[in-house]
Amino acid sequence: MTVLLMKEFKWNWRSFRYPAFLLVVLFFALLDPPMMKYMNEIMARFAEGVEIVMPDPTPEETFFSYLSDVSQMGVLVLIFMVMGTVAREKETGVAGWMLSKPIGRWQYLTAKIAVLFTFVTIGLLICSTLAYLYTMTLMGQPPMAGSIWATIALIAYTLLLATLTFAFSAVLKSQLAAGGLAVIIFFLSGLFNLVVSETAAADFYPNTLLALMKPLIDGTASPSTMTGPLAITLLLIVLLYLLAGSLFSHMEL
Amino acid sequence: MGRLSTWYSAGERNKIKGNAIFVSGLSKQFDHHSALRGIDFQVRRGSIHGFLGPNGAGKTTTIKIILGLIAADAGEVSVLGMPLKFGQKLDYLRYTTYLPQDPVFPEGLTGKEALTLVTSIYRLEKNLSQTRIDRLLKYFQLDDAANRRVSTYSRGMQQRLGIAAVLLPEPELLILDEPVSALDPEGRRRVLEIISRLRNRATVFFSSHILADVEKVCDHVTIIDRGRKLLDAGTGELLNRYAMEQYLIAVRSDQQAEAAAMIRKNPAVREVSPQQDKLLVISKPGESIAMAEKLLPTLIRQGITVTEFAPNHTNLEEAFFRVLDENHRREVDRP
Repeated sequence: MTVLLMKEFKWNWRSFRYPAFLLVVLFFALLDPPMMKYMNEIMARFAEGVEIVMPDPTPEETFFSYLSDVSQMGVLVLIFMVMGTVAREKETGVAGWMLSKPIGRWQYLTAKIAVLFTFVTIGLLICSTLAYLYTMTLMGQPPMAGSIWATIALIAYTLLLATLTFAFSAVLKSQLAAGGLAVIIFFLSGLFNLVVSETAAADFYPNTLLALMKPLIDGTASPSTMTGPLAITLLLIVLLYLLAGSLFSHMEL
Repeated sequence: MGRLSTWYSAGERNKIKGNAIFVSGLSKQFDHHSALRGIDFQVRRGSIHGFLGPNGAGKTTTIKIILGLIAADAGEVSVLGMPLKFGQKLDYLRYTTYLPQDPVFPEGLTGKEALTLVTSIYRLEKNLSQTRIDRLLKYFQLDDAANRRVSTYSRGMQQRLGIAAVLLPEPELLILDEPVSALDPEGRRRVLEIISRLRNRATVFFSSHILADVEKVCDHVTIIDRGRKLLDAGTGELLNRYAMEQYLIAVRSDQQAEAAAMIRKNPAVREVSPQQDKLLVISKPGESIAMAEKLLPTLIRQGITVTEFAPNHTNLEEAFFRVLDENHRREVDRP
């Protein structure tokens, strides 16, 4: 297993796939705090003669802005980075080469998803810490506990989308199909959220994690409110992985 | 060996034990195309076994089934005495290496890293594996390119690296799909030399289009076409069989036309054709002895001066095309 993990880590590092996602997250971590702080000045420069008065952003809003950007643009970039994880190796024959050796199919998939989860989790934790510290330096300290809970909500949601894309990549023949389907579900789940958010089902809907990020930072929602959507998200992650693994085990390569 | 008892009868068990690969009744359908139609063959342990057939015959499909990469619709396979069950971890892969037709390696790795990955997967001892890697890189003239990414290698270099990778774990069974197709003559010579040296130390099962190479190194060949096994025989036996079916007859030049007409009357003769200043006579399948016994006395009785009457030494390529040709004739004749 260690061998496969090292191979995955090396390949992803050299191909710059997962690091590209981390760079995008880092970009938001470093850009959002100064953007929010200097928004009024920036707006005044671009709209000379027009007086736009915006309330000064709070540290809570600034940190939320970073999380929000990552949950949209960051996740989209991640989908494009993950869509080839298995599908590309099937297309090029590398999967067949690997699996003609004493490597189980579950082992092969587990190594890939383990490296993916490690990159995403550690990357988001590091970048969120940087964003938090940068916000604190420029605008004051956002509530620490709330920010940690909101980051956990973002990580769980991102891992769900990563697993979904990974599952498509494992069971579909083409990486483009895997990425395309994941993007469609990403947008549809956002649209569906508009309907679900008005109902009791919101307590168990994964996108609720994103809706809870702001109230969690503010302290207007307690961490216990994310128990339902977090549990469902984690359950979906496990189920998607098991389903993908089960189908991949009987797939012809 | 315990698990064999639940899968095979005592007779079959004995067959499997003596064979590196045992294939029985293997069938595979892709959409509306039958890739394999009940193929049976065995590969004896320690032998070098050629697996031949034209493009689309079903060679790669068979190999992929053996490796557990695709599922068979019907039939049984066992490798090194262990039965294949698609979708389950195959223990025999620990003792088997495979070279695909177009060698591929995980992206981003250098040649040396790719070989190191192979040694790690097969759990070779670190010091030993490093020595072997260096030795193989040198033998296949890849030592200068060892630290370059494999993606920058030419196709021939990738094939040489692929061969180094299958030799590295010193496996019991090597499955090679067109191992020399991209190599220059020197590269081919080196690979064939290595394969020859493996005789009785490991089993080599390989498919190739270069029949002269197969003839040089193989003890046994299986020929398939359109998903059916056409022939399974020792290389020497196959060549002898076809040599005995072909005779080269030299007669006086002014009697050649008369002799050809006379030979054609023999019911055991299938074909007569001039070959340089001689006549090449091919018997109908299974009638070579009857033809040989009658032909010479008949010619002499008719006053033809026969200066040479000898079996035509055939090569594997000719034998291969004869087998395919006979099969096509049978298929055409089939009602």
